[in-house]
Amino acid sequence: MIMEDNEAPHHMLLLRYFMAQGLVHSQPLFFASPLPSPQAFLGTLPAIASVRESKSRSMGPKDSSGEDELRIAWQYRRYLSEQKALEERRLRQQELTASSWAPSSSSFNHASTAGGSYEFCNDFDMRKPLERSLLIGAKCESFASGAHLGGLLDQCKDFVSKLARPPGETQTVGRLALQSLCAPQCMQTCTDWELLAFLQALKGIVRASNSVAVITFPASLLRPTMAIRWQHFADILLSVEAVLDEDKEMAGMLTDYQEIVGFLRVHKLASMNTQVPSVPDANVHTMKVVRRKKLTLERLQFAPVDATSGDSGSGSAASLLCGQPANAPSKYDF
Amino acid sequence: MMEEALGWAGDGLPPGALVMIKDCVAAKGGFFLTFFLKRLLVPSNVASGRSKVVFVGMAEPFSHYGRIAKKQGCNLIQARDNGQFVFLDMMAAGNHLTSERRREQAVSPLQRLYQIVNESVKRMQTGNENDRVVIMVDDASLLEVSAGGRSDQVLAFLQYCRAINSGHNRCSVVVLVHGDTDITYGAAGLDNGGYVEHGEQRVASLAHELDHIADVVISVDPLSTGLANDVHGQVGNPNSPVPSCGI
Repeated sequence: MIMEDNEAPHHMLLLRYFMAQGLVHSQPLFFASPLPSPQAFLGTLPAIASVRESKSRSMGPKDSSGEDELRIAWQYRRYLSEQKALEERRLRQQELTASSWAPSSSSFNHASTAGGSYEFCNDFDMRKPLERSLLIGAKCESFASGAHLGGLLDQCKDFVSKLARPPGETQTVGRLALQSLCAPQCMQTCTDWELLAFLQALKGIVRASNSVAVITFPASLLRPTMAIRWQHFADILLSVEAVLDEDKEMAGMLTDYQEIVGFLRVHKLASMNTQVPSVPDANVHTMKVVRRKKLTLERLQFAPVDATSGDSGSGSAASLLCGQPANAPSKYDF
Repeated sequence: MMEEALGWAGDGLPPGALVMIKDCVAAKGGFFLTFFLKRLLVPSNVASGRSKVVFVGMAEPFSHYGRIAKKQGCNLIQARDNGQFVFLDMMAAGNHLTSERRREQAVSPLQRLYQIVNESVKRMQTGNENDRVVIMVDDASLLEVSAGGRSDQVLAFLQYCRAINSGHNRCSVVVLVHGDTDITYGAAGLDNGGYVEHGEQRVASLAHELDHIADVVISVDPLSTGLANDVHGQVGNPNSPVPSCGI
């Protein structure tokens, strides 16, 4: 589940990638949204990046003339040759698996009927729309005039029931994308508790099937007690925060500030079949749109802090980035 | 150490006891349920009797608890086959709380669930007067959702479960509830650490009400210093002589 930001629709970037990845790899998709025409939103899904571009990117810098793009210290250059060898080995393995890969015989296999087969990847080009032939397999539902949760749940059940395959056959994974589930349009016809009951039922359906659901919701529109209940339902809980256009303090703290459009915060990771919670390496990732083409998620990288700068006041950018509680007594509490 | 904190003598939970495990988004308390399962189904010594467990599973499927318990040396499948463990799967589609059939019935969902739990306890009885049955619920906040937000129905359900007799003993109840649904708790991702609107009435949450009637309250909280790889949180028992311990 992804908690939306009121200031910017960055959660839509994540949804676009989630949906495009599923359609490109012949995974059935169910998309529900408060938009009047969810089908029109499918037209904004990114196309897969060209193979030549992705391969040249993965090869890494060919020689030292690429050091303009590198922002690493000189003492780490000796590791570049090792990294390059690893990438070449990985590409060779991918070519071998691609030559032996056979498309699924699923009835939802629209990518293969279109004549294309793609390796699993996250490389998409947002400047180009996804091929229309790949959109055929997507099923859309709009709750612009109010969410009829019983009908929506029945549609989700029907969707996942078609994913089941007999043992021995290649299993199909389905994707459900529910955007802004507690938006005002949705709340016209249902109550908070009915929505929670819907989430409970949906979780049971998803857990028992070969499907994954991504739900975005504007947490600030919910009552705090309800927002917390929504968070408890999530196996993986993320939140998206926008970044201000001109924030000098933030610009001084972060490298590549101009490319950052927002932050992705990881609150909780799935712990299924285990009672040991997963602790992510980094809680906060920056969301960047590189050349208006590609969305990248990177761990936060701070610029060196000037030790003589002194106290920058309460609510500093560092405290925000480190997830400091709002009422923390000291800037070192995080 | 936890047994000492709970005052557990090793012969099972006291009859009629209500144990409440209170957790939050940042620190889940589900591990306590598997701890109790192991202690109840696999006693550490022969002198202590075996208890029987009726588990109302609303948050996770049976496979989740089965795999975790197996890693800890407790075979839930075997216990289920032996009649020592009953798992009521409330996550599955068509369960008694969310199915269309339920909507047609005159009784409320929690009344129907109580009937099922009562029947399960009766079926587990072997005639031994010292039988002890523990009813475990994961979790009560989902019971509240099934009841449409009626926390009084959830409290009534739990009290009725405590009153079920198995032999000479009343059933004990272990229930997990989300303590951070109280309005004064901060929520992950929201700007305010504690949210109380000016003029808004504070409504007692289910966790707050259970706090008053529970015999044992175990609170699972995250570390105040943030996440750590080796220590995931802290456990507290307000009535215990043993101070809070890390987990």
